[in-house]
Order: sequence, then structure tokens, then C-alpha cells
Amino acid sequence: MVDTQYSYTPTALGKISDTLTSIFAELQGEDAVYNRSANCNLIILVSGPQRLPALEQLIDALSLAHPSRFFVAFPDPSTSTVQASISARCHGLSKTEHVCSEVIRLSAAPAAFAGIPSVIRAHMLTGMPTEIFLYDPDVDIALIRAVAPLADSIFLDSQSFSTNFQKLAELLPLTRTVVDFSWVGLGVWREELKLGVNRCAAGLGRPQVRSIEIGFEGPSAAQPGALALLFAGWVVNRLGAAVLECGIDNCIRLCGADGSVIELKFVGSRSDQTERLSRVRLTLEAAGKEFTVEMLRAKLLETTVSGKDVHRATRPFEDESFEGRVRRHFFIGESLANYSGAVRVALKIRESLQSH
Amino acid sequence: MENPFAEGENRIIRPPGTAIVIFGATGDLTHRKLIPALYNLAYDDYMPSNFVVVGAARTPLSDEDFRKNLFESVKKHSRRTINDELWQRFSQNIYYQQLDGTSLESFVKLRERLQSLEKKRAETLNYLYYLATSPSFFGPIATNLRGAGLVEDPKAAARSTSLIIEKPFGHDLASARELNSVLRKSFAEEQIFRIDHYLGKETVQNILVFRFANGIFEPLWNHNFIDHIQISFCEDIGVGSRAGYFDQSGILRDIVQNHLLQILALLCIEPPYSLSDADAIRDEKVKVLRAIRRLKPEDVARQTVRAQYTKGFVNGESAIGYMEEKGIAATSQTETFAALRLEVDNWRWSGVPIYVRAGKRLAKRITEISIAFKRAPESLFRGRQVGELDQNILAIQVQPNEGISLKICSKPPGPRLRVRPVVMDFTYGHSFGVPSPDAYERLLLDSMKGDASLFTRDDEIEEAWDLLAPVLEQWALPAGGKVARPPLHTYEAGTWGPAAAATLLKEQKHRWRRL
Repeated sequence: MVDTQYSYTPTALGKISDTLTSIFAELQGEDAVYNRSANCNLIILVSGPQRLPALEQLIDALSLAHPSRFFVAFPDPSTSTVQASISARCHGLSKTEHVCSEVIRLSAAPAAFAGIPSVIRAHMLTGMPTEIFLYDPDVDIALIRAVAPLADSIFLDSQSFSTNFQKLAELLPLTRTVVDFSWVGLGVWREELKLGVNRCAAGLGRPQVRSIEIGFEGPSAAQPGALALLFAGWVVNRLGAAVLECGIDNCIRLCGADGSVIELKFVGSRSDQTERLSRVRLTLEAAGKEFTVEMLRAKLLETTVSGKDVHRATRPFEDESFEGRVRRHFFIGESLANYSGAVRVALKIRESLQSH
Repeated sequence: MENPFAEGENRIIRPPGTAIVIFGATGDLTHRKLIPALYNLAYDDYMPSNFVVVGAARTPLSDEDFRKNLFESVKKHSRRTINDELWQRFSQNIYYQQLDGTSLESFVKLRERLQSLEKKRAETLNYLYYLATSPSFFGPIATNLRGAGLVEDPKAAARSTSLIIEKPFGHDLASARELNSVLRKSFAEEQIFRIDHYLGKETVQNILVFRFANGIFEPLWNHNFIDHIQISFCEDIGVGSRAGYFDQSGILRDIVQNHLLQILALLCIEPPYSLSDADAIRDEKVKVLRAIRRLKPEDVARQTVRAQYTKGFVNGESAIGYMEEKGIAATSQTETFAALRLEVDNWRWSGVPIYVRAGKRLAKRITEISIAFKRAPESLFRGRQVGELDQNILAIQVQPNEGISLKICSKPPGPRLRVRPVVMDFTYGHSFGVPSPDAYERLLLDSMKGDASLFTRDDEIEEAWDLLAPVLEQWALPAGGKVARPPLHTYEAGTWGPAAAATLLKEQKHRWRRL
């Protein structure tokens, strides 16, 4: 838990380094040492000041998992020039030793926004990894483009891009690595599908997938959101299948790697919660035999593999909150190997669904 | 050995009695650097027990007015706070002599003044002449010093007489040779101290200690383990009041030819036979400069990049472009950014690219040397969600925060095998509890002691110019001539330079380190 939060101190742009130094000088107590501890530059892009209160929680969570020099950049129409204010977040490693992240808030009216990347460049920690965190999807793409060359990776949550999913396509070319916390949250589903297919295909060679059904629940049952699209994108991409045409009722025909036709169907149900997967069902054929792998959201994730025999397995869901997924990424890590391919296919699926 | 008492006696910190004559005493360098440095030496008790500082310039000034002016400058620029009692004692040794650098008569008066000051002190003082003037005065001043009998034979005299000059040491090979030749008519090479203040910085001096006093690094210091080297000199300021001078020289002459090639030479030298003999180090540096592969005219466009800044933002403030700066010619082709790919063509460094870049109006002020070691084989980590392993980087920061860091790969805590880069840091302030002295302090102290190790010798200067000659020639080609002139790129103020600079490294799959 963050135990020391230094309040934001406004500072002149030319005094940012000095102010940081003086904050840490003030923090030092007789009984404890406060270490400036940052292993990366983390640039958080925000669409406006109204998002700042909620962002503070995220910064607390990130500073625990990923001590950084944070740059929080947002447009603020109330100021004509670039303004800076500085804070620090510390948590105790022991009674006498605290680890602190530094937070540099930068704001400017949209007209003066061009100055912000230069402040970030001037204060980045030398030689350290640099990451961009897209806190919300409404961040001006021009700002993202201006800052992206500074960074090795972009963090985002594609779930928040559900209404603007196409923006992901613009982001992918801007960076080498995208860390999508929705992707992180889907890890347990991907893992279970892998294990399920392992079970039914054991000793029978590569199975052919005949149909895929993805169930989701969320505010809109009409069309799949980012999560369902992303999962579908991953499945289709791993199968090496191509989108053929869109039928009715969120149903898509795919052409499998072997030329066979695969049916992909999204089944939505309305709920007040944010979008989440409710069910995944794959029909497969291996060595002339038909199998199904079905995963259902209950209290646990329940997987049933049916063929000659029936196998059941359960697995607890991990913390699916945003903070939980953030913690998971930084403390445990998640494979990002197939993410880009999954997004590309997800975008094609969405395009196909929308064109119908 | 000529002097049987010299062996083992190398602990002398306080130099012998010295009269320092500063030509250009009313100028910026004297006020911002030289007098504050001398004051700080006095503060640390390193000044000779008997010394005088004579400021010489055209402007008529009394000793008292000169001292008053200097007091204001020292208050502003000294790294130590002013101690009134010390200043009183220190400033009583400062005098002013009106002087015309082109008039022998002025120098005769200067000699009389020095003799009179020396007489009062009843001690034979060494004479140290600091030329803080425009280079056009170097020749006349040296000649007049000799003419007025103020230069003595280094081998025969009871006192030493030395000359310190500031860059630029010429603007190309021919003019550097000419300058050396003019100076040597009045002074022997061993009496000439060419100051490159970068060599006075603690981190630059530490390069030799770091390399040769640590058993773990020197065995790795070669092409078998080092992938490439980057030397970056970045300023966030523009040309400011130096526009007139800068537009005539450009950053290649202003920074690369001297500071950066000196750093490169120190990084790459073979162990000198001694650290006590100034020429032992300088001989090795010359060998490195000589071994840097000369660029053929056709290589220049491929291995160098030049650019000028355009308007942009530096640390949030809008900045005008180079062509909009006061005092810049409307047709200026002067580079404010230069990047080069060089290679030291010897056994140790064969195949190791050394990238050098210098620029004005970049994102921030930083000078850094980074040594990138070859990557570890990744086979162990393949399929382990590790991605590309970071290179180990040894970074030596020369300014603003002098220190050394080593980037290593480490496993973050947690159940999965992951790899993240972490940095081990050494900074002077934190480790030694004191900030580094200003480079001028060390260099002035050494020059008073007659130690030339940190000063540049004539052949080093000439080798450096020789190395850059093809670049300067190609960059100066007329537009629209038979041979295409390498392009002058542009970059937005506040960025890290032109895109072409990144392309320079791409061929070998390298990237500029993010500073």
C-alpha cells in the first residue's frame, strides 16, 4: 500500500529537477530513508483533467508494482502555457526504508500542447525503458504520435476502446510492443482453451476446427465488444484462418488453413457490467472423430471436453478488475507473443460485422 | 635520473609560486570560469603560498575596480560560497594591467609590472600566461611575450614560463599547423598548454582509472566483448551570443574536433607506460587518433550526418530556428548537429563502430559516453516471454551529473522467469560526499604545477583535424557542383536530432541511446 503521498507542488518547467530533489529532501525523516526508485519512464496520457481523480488510484497501484518516473500529460483549456506540478508516492519496504515513484503532471491548452513532449524528453530517466499508458481512449492521436517515438511499449486496455476499436489499428504501428490489459485478463481463457484442445487432440494429430462460438455479456448484446473480438481474433489467428464473409446474427464464415469452412458466431447477452466473456465453445474434428471444448463462466471457469470421453476441469478466475490485471502484468507477466496478430484479425472481424 | 630527489616524490599538490597573467581579463571566460576557479582553489588551500594574478586587457581599469568587478562574478559563478575573509586575502593578489596585445611596448610595461610584484614578494615566481582572447591574438601575444623577454628557455631558466590557450586551435588542418608553427617560434611545445576543459572533468579523468584500476573491465575492453560505443554531447541551448563565431565554425569544429575526439581517444587508448609522464598518455592518444579510419570522400555522405535546428519547443518553451537567430547569415549552411560513425582500425577495436554526435537545441543538456556490450545468447530464454535481451550498457555521464552506471538484466520478483533491465549507479556526490570540482580548477592547478597530462599536444590537434578534413571538405562543397554535397538535414528544436541520425545506426541494427 502507498503510505506516503506527497501533495502536488506546482513548479516552473526549468525547476522540475530541483523541485524533485527538494521534495525528497523534505521527505527524509530521522527514522526512515526514502529512496527515489524508478526502473522506467511511464508516460500516462489522459484526455482531460476530469479524469485525474480516478487516475490517482491507478498511479498508486502502478507505483507499488512498477516504480517509475510518471509523466501525466493532459490538455487543460484553463491554461495557455505548459504547467507542471510534482508529487511522489512511496511505500515501505521495511520500517526504515521506503521506495518512491516520482509523478510529474504536465498540462496545457490544446494550442500549447506541442510543448509537452519536449518537457517529457527533457526529464526522462536516461537509458531506462520508456512506456506509454493510454489511460483513456479519447486521448488525441496527435499527442500519442508525438510521444510514441520516445517509448518502447504502449499500455492500454482495449476494453475501453470498444466504441473506438479502430483506433487500435492506428496505435499498433507506433510501437514495438502493446501491452493490453484486456489481453492480460483473457490469459486464463486462452490457457484453458489450450489445455482443452490438448486433451481432445492427444495422439490424434492436429485437429480441424469446425465452429467457434463466443459468448459475451455486457451493456450491448447486439455486437461483440473488444474482449470478445480480441479473443476471437486470437483463435482465428492461431488457426491461420481468414475472414470470408459475414452472415446474419453476428455469424462469420472463415476459411481455414486447409480450405475448410469454419463458422464463427458471437452470442451476446445484456448485463449492466462491463463486457466479459461468458462462454467459448469450439467444435473440432481429429482423426475422423468430433470433439467439443466448452468453457463456461460460473463461479469458476468450467471447461468440458467432450468426445469419446468427457473431461471436466475448473480454474478460478484471477482478479479481473483493472487494477488486478495491472498488478498481474507487472508482478507475474503475461505472454504478448500473439497479441498483434490477434488484434489485426479482431479488426477484420469487426469490419466484417459492421459492413453487414 | 637527473634529480636524485625526484623519485617517489609525486605528492605535491600545492604548486610553486606563480604569476598568472590573464589576457582578455575583462571577458566572459575570465569572469565566469577562471577567477571563480582560482578562488575555489584558494578555498581548498591549493593555491601557491605566493601568487599574483594580473588581468590584462585594453580597457583602462584600476586594480580596485577590477577586483570589485571580479567579486561580483565570483559571487555569481563560484561553486563555493564567498568567504569574506578569504576573498580579502585572495583578491589582494589580483592586479590589473592595461595592455594592447599587438604592442610590444605594452608587454615591456607588463614585464616591469611583474618584476615589481615579484620583488615585493621576494620570491622567484613562475610565469603562466592565459590567453582568454580571440584566437587572432594568439600569435601577436606569443610573439610580444617573447619580444619583451617574458619567455624563458624551459631547459635553462630558473623560472618556468608557460602559455595556456583556449580552443579553437585552428579551423582546419592547415590553420592548426600554422598556429602551432607561430606559437613554437616563441614557446617550446612543452611550454604550451592547450586547454580542453573536458579533460579536466572528473569523469573524463576517471576513464583511465576506471579502465586500468578495475580488473573486471579491461579484459572486456575490446572488439570481442564491446558491440559499439556512443559518445553524445547534447545541449538544450541555441547559439545565443556566440552566433557570429558559431556560424563560422559549426558544431563539428566547435565540439567534435576537440572534446569528443579527446574522449574517444581516452576511451580507446592502450595502457600508457606511466600515468606520471604527460607524454606517455598523449603518445597513446595520438596512436588512437591516427588509427581512426579516414573517411573517403564517397564515405562522408554515408557515415556522417549534419543538420540545423528549426523552431520547436525545448522543455516546454518555444524556441526559434537557427536561421532566425540573430547574427546568422541568411544563406548559412552551418551545422548545429553532427553525427559520425567512426572506427578505430587497430587490433583492439577492429569492427567496433563508434558513434559520435553533438548538437545544439536538443532535448536536454547531457554529455554521455555509453559502451554497449555484445548481447548474451538468447537461446536460454527463447519462448519464455522475455523478448530481446537488453544489452549491458556502461554509461559514463560527463555532465550534468558526473557518474557511471551499468545496465544489467535482472529477474523481477515473482513466480515467472522474466527479464528487466536495472541500473547500478555511481555518482560522485553520493559516493564521495562532495561535488566534483569545476574542470578549470583542476586544469589551472595542473598548469601551475607544470603537469601537461590533461592538455592537448600539437600532434593530437593535427591528427584530429586530419581525421575531419574529408568531412569538412565534403560538407563545404558548393551546391549544384559536379560532386553532390551531403545534405544539410533539419530537426525540430527540443528533439534528439534529425531522422537521418537514426538511419546512420540502422545499418548495423543499432539505435541511439535514449538520453
